[in-house]
Amino acid sequence: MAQDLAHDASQEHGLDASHDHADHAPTGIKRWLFSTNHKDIGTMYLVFSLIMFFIGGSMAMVIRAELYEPGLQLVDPERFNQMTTMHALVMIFGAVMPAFVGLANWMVPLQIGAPDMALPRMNNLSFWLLPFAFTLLLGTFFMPGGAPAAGWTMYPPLVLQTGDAMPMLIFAVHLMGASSIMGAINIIVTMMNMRAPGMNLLKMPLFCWSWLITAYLLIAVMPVLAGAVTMLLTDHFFGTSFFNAAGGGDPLMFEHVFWFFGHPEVYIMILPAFGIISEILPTFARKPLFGATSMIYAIASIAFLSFIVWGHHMFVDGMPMAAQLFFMMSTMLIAVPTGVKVFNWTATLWRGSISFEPPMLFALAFLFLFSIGGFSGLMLALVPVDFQYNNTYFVVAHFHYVLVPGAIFAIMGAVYYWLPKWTGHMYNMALAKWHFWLSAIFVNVLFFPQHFLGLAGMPRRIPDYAVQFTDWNRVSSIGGFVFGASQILFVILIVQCVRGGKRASAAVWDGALPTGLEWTLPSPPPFHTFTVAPEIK
Amino acid sequence: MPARRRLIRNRALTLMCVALAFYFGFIALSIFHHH
Repeated sequence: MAQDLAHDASQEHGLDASHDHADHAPTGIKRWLFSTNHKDIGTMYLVFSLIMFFIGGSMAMVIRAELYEPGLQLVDPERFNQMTTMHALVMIFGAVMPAFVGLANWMVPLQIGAPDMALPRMNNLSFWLLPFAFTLLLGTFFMPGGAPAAGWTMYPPLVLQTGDAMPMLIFAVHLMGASSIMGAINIIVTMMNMRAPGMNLLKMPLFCWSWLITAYLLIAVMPVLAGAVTMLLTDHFFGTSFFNAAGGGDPLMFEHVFWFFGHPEVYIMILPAFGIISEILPTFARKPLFGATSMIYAIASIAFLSFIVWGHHMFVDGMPMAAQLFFMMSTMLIAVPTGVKVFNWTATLWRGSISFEPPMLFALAFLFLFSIGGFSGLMLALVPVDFQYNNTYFVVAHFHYVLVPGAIFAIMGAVYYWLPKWTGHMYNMALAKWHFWLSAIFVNVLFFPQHFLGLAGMPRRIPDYAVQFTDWNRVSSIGGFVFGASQILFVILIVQCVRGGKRASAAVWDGALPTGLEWTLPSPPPFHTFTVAPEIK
Repeated sequence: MPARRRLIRNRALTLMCVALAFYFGFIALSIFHHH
């Protein structure tokens, strides 16, 4: 009843506010196709991301099945390379990034007291570019020559051997880039122009702050990727030789340009996760975040450093000693602000009154498991050591630790944190805990043995391997199958929660300490919120 | 156009220009590297 009243009130405000789009929820396909509503667009991003998570995941299952034992079983080597390449592209650009953009769409206006994103029509375009980009990209599987197979890094000259898929790949990357840049512009402008009166920048929640910095990273580096692939395109089709040594070009040049994009890109995939963890931990430790301002400076420092470490991806490519030292030291420097963050999270838990709801479980798992990925990253930063580890499964173990129990656990934690707010229903707690424990245990069974394989010398991106690697590959594959299967629980839980369940209160986590404007709204929030700006003390 | 809208539009256009600068800037860098 109270909810209906709040809904009606906001509708009335919607009518007399300066909204030039529909002030009531449109229905049917048009609601989604022409949506300018941040909540609907956020939902579309999140659903899209979940679909891509399963498509990319099915490719991972093929990879792990092929690697279950030495020799060639399921796929030929060419198809295997297509699987590793497409798994990465789909997971990075289709699953992780759209999930964070979806969360930003839903939560940024609610957290800063804005009625919507600053540029709602551009928001619609940002989303709708993605299905087209991925139709193009996934469509390459059905083309002569198959999908791209030169790795997601698209290094020339190998990538120039891609068949008909090459222009599709490049156009898809352009579309994803345009989508990300527009999304980033929207987020920055929303935070700069649409904050409620009294909400100064330092009062913005950490999730917003992490996204503000991430959005600047996106604007700086997505065009660089677009430039790099455009040059690949002209090398391939228009006779230029940017990266062609025979024409006076330099293939190493691509790697520099690519990793100037690529390293900030990995922080684009982790900084919003840091923001999410900084929201969840204080809620369920029932204490304010320790060192909130230093968290913002730490994120900004990490973002700055991300621009001067790209060379650590190329230590074995031939590089002057001075450059190796510079990139090694700048990379190790990142441990300092990251250490500040981990310290602050731990200090937030210290003497907190902790309870273990599903979002908190994912946040705690993030804290431990992301740190493992951070430590193996430090090992890889050391030039002489990297000479040994480069191109082995150790690298695969490292970046999967930061991306799966790092970025993806944070996304899942965020979904478990805000899902009752979005749907107005509590979800099945027992099922959520099953999902958590199966994921948290088997993600380690899946990726921890890959450290051993890498240290023992197993190269990455191969469909076959020497017999001494068999045992740990089997363990890893079994971990992968169970981890993959347990994600089905996540889908079941979400569908159940959308359909119904115990009603969630406005604050959702009443027993804990949820802070922020989003918890002042009813669950689910009405279609239009904050049409009259809230007053911030 | 209301001042607030103009501010929003100008911020968005500025950021778009920054993105374009990075795009053409890096292609230009590669061309200079080439010669």
